[in-house]
Amino acid sequence: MTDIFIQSLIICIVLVWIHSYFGFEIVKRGIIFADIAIAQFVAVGLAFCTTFLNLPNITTYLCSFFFGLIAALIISFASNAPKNFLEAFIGTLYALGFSLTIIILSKNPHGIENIIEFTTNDILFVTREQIFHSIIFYLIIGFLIHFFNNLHNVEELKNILFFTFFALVVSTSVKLVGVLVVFSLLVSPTFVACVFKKDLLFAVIYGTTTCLLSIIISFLLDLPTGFTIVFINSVLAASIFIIQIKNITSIKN
Amino acid sequence: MRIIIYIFFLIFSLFYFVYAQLNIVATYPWIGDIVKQIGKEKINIHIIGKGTENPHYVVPKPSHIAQLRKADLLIIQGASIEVGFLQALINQSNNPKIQPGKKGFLDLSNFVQLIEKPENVSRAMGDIHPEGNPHYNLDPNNFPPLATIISQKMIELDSDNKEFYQKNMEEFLSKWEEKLKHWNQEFSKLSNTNVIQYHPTYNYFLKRYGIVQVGTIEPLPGIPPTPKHIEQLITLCQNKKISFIINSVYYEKNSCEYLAKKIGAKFVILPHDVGSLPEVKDIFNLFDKILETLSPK
Repeated sequence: MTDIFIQSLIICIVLVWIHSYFGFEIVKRGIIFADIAIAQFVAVGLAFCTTFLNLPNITTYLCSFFFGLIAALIISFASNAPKNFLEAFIGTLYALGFSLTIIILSKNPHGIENIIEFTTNDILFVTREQIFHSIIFYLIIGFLIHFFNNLHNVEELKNILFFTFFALVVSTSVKLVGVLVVFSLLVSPTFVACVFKKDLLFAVIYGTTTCLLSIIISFLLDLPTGFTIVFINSVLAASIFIIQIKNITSIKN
Repeated sequence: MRIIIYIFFLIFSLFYFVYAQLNIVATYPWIGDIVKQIGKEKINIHIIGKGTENPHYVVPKPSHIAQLRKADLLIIQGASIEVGFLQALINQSNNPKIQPGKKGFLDLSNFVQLIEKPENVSRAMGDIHPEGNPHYNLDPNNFPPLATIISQKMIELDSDNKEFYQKNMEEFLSKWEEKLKHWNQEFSKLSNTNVIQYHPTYNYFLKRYGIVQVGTIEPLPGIPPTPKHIEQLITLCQNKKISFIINSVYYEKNSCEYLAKKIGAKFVILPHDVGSLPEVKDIFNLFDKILETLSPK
């Protein structure tokens, strides 16, 4: 069993590393729910392709990426609007994506299985090849982000590129481990880092630790691995926030 | 000191070989129950699906992979019912013994006459399994041949316990035949009763005993009910007496209750597997409970 344990752990750590970067960016832009809206549109894409098109795997991926990209570009276009409007808008996009997924899946005989698969596309089933491919893919994305971040005077282009990369990463990860796990790995480590006023490195170390803990618990108590990761990350982040809430508000005042 | 450790190790491994048990994994509880009746204490059984879960989907857990790794035999229901999870589990198990086509892999659907085999399959037909309807475990007459096949497989893999398995199988068969007479007699009284079911889960049972299915609540297998389809069902039932609306534990119940009220039928939940209802503890209880639910009070 050690190999499956290590595989789950590696994929989880890889996801934490790439997603923590995006987590910080979306917190900075004040669009914390952008990822779940994009992830939901990726799910719409997956639902659409599996229900109506019956395409080979790679085309399904491209198709779902295309849906994610549309959502990302819409959010990028709207990202100049005042913050309170923006959050409401992103929330609306999420509801739109979610309802659309269910409506499409209601025409799909394997609907229930697909909904569960979209929400946690099981981490236990990720193969060695998939891990290898995703590591290479995320490395390329990381390099491209680094390259474009060093460019100057192209703010508009940078914004669009950020959202394009974001959509690419989210669609890949959702296909691997499902919407909920992706959301949880994006937000929880960043959230905790922000509570302690720490940086990206802290988020990465924290995220790696919680993933190790979640996978150990899942294997020891025989719990569904994806949901355990989501649960442990959420319960820890929420508790840390509540415990630290006094410090946070006192600093604000 | 070292010699003591060696002796301990030797004794331990001897015990291991003497008491080595056949490790069997079954996808559903009813299969596991047959295996238990035949293998008793000589085998280890792990069951993947739970009686309360929708058999078309099972939540993957680490233990399923761990158990499949050390399994000598994997027994499945087949006819694509496990399509949502089994292949991924078998792949991750990396166990050469239980790969499809190998000695340690047994697909029970190969040993029963499947009904409703479609001539051609398209997605437009809903959740149709190309091999036919996979819910063959709801006809009690299918159990004797399946128990025989399972015991033959166990004897093939563990010939040392041949007599033990043989004896248990014969005991099981005679007990089952006796019950079967009673069930066949009682269930036949339900012949020509009109029913509506949620999903075509009970078709083998209905067909065996001449119970008439007027319609299903799902417009197509696996597609959730729509308002239009429910209206059509109500119109269809206007001049008919529908005795029962049948559902399993894992589907939504609201549409059944609504329809039952509209057409004056009795809404019942039938067990579909061992463990689906608290009182269904084995395959004998399974059909006893179905009989109890459908018998006039």
